[in-house]
Amino acid sequence: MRESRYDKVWREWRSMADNASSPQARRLVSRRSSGLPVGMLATAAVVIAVVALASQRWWPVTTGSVSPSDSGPLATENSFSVSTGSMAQASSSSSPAPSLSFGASPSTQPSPQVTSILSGTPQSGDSAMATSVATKYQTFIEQADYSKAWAMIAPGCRLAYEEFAKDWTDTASSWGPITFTLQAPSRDWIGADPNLPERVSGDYGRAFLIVVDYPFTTQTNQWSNLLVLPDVAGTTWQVCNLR
Amino acid sequence: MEVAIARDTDILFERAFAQHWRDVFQFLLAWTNDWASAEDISQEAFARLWAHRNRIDWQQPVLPWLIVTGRRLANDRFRRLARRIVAPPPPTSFDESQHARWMDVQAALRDLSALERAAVVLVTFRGMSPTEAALVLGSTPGGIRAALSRGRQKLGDA
Repeated sequence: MRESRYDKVWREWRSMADNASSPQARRLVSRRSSGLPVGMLATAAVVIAVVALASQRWWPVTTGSVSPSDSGPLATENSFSVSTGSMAQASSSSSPAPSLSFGASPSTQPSPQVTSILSGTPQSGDSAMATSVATKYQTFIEQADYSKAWAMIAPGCRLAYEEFAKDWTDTASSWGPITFTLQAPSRDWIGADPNLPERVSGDYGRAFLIVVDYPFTTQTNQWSNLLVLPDVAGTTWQVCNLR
Repeated sequence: MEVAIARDTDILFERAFAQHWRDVFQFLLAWTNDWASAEDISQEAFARLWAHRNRIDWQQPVLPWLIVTGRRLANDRFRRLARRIVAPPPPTSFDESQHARWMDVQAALRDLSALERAAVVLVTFRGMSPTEAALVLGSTPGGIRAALSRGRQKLGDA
């Protein structure tokens, strides 16, 4: 019997895809952990420096009123340890690359400059504001009011409205109302996506990450990481669903 | 205690990598129809899994998480590429004959949508049910069945 075009194309596809070579897990993690943070640190430094200059203020290293939930994205899990180098060294092509690694144990001598840039300075009430914004966004989705939810998304993070609405409409028609629960805000947006400042502008010194759990996806390892942050001017809070 | 937990999650990550690398790559190859992008985004998806390893419930399947993450990473990447009008690079791991073979397959599948290609890979090759595929593809079971049918028609096999 003659093979159909459909079968022929997919047979060829499988014979190639089944033989695809994969990197080793350790090599992948090692490469990522030594590669991504350098770019991320440089990007974060540029973004925050621009914001600081624009608002004519500077970012204190340790001062300011910060509640426990507002503090230290880098002191918890997925922390980066920085063994050498300041930001200037990290972004310089002529100097040796600093050694960066993922790890549970904090560096013994982290660079204070790098830490201050990444930690930023949330203002009092920012954590509660982030939770309120995330609740509002998820409530719009739960109520199928997709245009209002879409309007809250940071421009660099938006799908086309039709695509966004279709995604949620299909999900709701398959699984019912998109009920949700929010976890406490954390400051570890870097752990979720270190390249964020390249595509979503905003005041990362006041950014929070909020994990959204959906009861309808229990036991499927599905959740959303919602980045919540003010825009560069610091006036309008916006959201970005990272996954 | 913390060290032991960290070691356990490292092992679980490596196990997930060994079990699912090919599944994730093949899904992304179908979704993007681009070899080099599928390789890159697969690595990025596993890097995200590594970053979230302490949050993941390792008692539950990890593959749906990886596929959803990969799909969103791919959509992000192609949105950015569309804005910059940059063509994806050719696969570097191919010799000339492999490259020619892949170009033929890629061209044949170009008329299918990402959903149609991915539905074939997940349902026909991986054995997922339309309901399971719908969850990871952001569609409905009916949408998946329709995508499978349309994909077959488009390749002249109605």
